[in-house]
Amino acid sequence: MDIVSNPSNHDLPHRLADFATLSEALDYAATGATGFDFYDSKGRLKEAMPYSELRRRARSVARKLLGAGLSRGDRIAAVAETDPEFAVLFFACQYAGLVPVALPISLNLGGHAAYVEQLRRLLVGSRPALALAPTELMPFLEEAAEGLPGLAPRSFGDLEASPEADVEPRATEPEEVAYLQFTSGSTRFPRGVVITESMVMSNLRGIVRQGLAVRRGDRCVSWLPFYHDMGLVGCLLGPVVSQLTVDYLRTRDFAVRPVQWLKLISRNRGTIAFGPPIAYQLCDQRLRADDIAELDLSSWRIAGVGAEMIRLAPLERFANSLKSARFDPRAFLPCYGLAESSLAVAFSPVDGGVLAERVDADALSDEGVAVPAGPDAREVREVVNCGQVLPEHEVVIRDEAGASLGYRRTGRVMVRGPSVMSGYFDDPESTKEVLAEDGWLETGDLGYLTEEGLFVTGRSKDLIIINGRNIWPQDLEYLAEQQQQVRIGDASAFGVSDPDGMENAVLVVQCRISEVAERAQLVSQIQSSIYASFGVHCLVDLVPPRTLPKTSSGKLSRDAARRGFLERVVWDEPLAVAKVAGKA
Amino acid sequence: MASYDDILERLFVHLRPLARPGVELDGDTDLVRTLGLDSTTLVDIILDVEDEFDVSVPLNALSDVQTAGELATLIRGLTEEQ
Repeated sequence: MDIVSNPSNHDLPHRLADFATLSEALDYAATGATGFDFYDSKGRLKEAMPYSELRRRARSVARKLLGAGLSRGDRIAAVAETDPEFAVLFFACQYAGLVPVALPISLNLGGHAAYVEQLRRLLVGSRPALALAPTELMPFLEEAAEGLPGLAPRSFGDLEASPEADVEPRATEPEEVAYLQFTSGSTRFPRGVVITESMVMSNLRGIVRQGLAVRRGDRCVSWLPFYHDMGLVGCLLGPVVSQLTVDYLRTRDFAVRPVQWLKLISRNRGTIAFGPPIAYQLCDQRLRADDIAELDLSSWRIAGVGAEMIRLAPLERFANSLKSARFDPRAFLPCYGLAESSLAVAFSPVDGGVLAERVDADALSDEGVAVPAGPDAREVREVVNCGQVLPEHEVVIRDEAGASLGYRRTGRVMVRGPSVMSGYFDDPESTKEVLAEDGWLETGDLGYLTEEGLFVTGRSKDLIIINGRNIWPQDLEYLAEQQQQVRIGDASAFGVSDPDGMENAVLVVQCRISEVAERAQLVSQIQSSIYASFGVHCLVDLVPPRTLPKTSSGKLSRDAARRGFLERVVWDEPLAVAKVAGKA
Repeated sequence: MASYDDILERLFVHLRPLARPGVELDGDTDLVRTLGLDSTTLVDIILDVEDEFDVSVPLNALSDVQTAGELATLIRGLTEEQ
């Protein structure tokens, strides 16, 4: 029998996130005809789950969870594949007063052990009362949970087949915790963002009303993973609180065949779809002429761009390639946010396209001032406008000493408002580092404000971002230090842009080995352990001892290491070859 | 039904362009260390494999694959399942 997809329309009065809790939002959506559709790697509809069905299953699983002896506020960790089962579990927790924690899927070639280790750290960090996974990922979860007291992982299927408790579940209340969101921060020291119902509802109101101006008949198409804030809050919860239908593609299937995303938008007349800049770049790289001829993207009114610093060129290439498929570049909607503020902070105007300004690059980097580039500017930098901050929220820019800066002066981006987290789970120290008593959140990003909005120019933390993925230098340094030949404190990691403008991860490692084959062996060992954990190639630069510069407090300075590296590197010479080991 | 050796030979067609001149490919060739496969080239190989062998390669299975021979064994298993 053919599965019938959920319609884009329903005949309910359209309500935009004016609910006190997520369960209340689903109760309402379930009275209409919309819901979630799940597609396979070839773009065939696998399962259509109307919100009425999601609600029925979630309420049943809520009783089953309570039957398993869980107490209010307990955390339920679940490996978040883009499946109906995860959505059911997430809402079951909402109905039962439990706290869901989405666990990532991060599998690289030869990365079995690294993934198990990552899951284990998240289990230790979130202390769940129950851990769940889809059947095919159970072996990883079981291995990760080995020896953790009282934690016996179960599959979703096993949970759904268990008996319901004879109790009326009591849903999570507005001031109770709605979920924990692990940030894409350091894999070694993961931090769980604590978000209550009222926080996420206030963010969702801002998103669906001001950010997207959601209308009746809108339809979302998403491949974003449920374990990221944009996938979870933006593309799972956002549609529920505004009664929209969503078409889901698995992240892995998007990565292999990104054009499937566009085909779904075209075929189902999708109107809202989000991605990091790399998503648009991947599509553009993989598009073939016959794909373009097949596509009609005229329905796509919001092509959201976020999750990392936005550059203009890849978006322009995407729009040019898809002009004949009737993609409207005004659909581009740059935005800014972070999990610590539920998801979103600022959106550029709907129908505005990418608004960028050309500023003098020297003034920006030397004086921290964003001045429009004159005709005599030596170098120009285009900075994308992320738009106005959401209602009830504030953004200020501060200098290193904490003083507020005026328009056009770059500094640390600070956010305050009702969507900001209460803190990191079980981690008062990390919380204190970013969240002040008076409610101001340090975002870790750098930028400036103008009357037109917020412009993000970079990161104040040493984060390395490759293909949309956040990598913390500490994690790369740690992997290098795991090698026998490397001492603690002998490695420094950072990101550099190569001549093509692509970000590369670089590790400078001090070592005493002089034998050529041994050096090559060490480089190869470090590279494969980084690959197994992060799926990226890292340039490894072996240098003599005492090459790495230290700060006045005796710590290695990544910034100085980076400058030293840039002085040494010859891009077409051995290092670049080492980066693509195997290619001549 | 394609044999292991068949599959390996067909895999080499896709892997050879990634190898440095003079590097001989065999079942023990390490995909990451020797061929420098990164997430982008890996996706290209998966796409080629899925199209050529008409299988869907699950991510969880790839996490235990290090060499060309292990990849061939995985594909063989997937074609048998169908």
